[in-house]
Amino acid sequence: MNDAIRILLVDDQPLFRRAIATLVGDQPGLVVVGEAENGLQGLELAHSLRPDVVLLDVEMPVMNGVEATRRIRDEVPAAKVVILTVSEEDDHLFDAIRYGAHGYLLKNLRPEQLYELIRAVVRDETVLSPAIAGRLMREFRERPTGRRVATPSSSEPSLTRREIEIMQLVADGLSNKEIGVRLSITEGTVKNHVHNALEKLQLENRIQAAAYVVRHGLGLRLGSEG
Amino acid sequence: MPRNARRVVILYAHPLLGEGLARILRGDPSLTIEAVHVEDLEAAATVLGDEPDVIVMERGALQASDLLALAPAALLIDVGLDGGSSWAYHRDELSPLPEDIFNTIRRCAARTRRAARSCKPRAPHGTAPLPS
Repeated sequence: MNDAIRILLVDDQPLFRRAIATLVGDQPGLVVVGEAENGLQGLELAHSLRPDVVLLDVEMPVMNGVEATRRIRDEVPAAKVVILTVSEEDDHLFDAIRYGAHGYLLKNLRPEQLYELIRAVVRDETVLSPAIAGRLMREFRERPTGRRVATPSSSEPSLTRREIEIMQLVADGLSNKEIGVRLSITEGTVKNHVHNALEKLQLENRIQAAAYVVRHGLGLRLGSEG
Repeated sequence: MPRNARRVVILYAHPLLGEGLARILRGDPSLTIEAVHVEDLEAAATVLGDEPDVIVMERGALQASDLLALAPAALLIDVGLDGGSSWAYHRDELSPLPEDIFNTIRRCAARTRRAARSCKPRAPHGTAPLPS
């Protein structure tokens, strides 16, 4: 099996990682050479293991999948980087593509599809889940010609659309749980977004965040985008 | 396959998770595993009606209480893709008699902490409370 495709799995959910490792590892011509639970660990293993393909989750502690994409593409250029995420609505699609991801896939794939897409990316194909391709097409169609995609200006904090949406709900007084229900995402994901937004805005808590939203009117920015 | 193999049903929304768990668990000869996508309602109804011992459900796919109504004897384990904790639920039937209910409340109140601790690592049929 000298020419087996060597795969590094990077995902912070150990059960999902084990599930994928078992499925992929059973396939002829595919071998899982390493597993990491965050982007930084993934980057280190990409250096030491030199995988052909890195499957990267997006939302992870320590270093997320987008930053890991940038670093791995920069430092281990022979590795193909494929994002594997839960939602086509996640905010990181354009950043990951700009940083050189070779693929952007949803976790709702069937196992056989994943095997085939891993083989395809090694053949230098770009792999996208249909829902992701659909979102890309839609965003480009709706964007005025020549305008760049969601580029933050250097003078203001670069909140993602999702973070803006969530901070507005925070300002409305909703709890993480209520926001999760409203947006059909988990409470943990809401918590991550709130944490990231607070960090970017250099705020310490939700009350400051609510005051910030009222003062700076994030809603206007959201409304004027896209 | 041993005749007394325990029946495990996996209800998944993400095939990579559900089929992956099935592949892992099929390595255990004491278990029979059926993995079904939650949107395949007919198949799900069939496997649930066949008295599974354990149901593994992907979080958010279905209501725990609904599942245990369909398969009352099963232990339900809820796992998620979001990296949070997993949970085990077990349903005990009580009579409608007030005394039965009050006795159960008192008994469980007295031992909840210990029972919750003890059922996690070993006994599959523990007494984790079912959310209403």
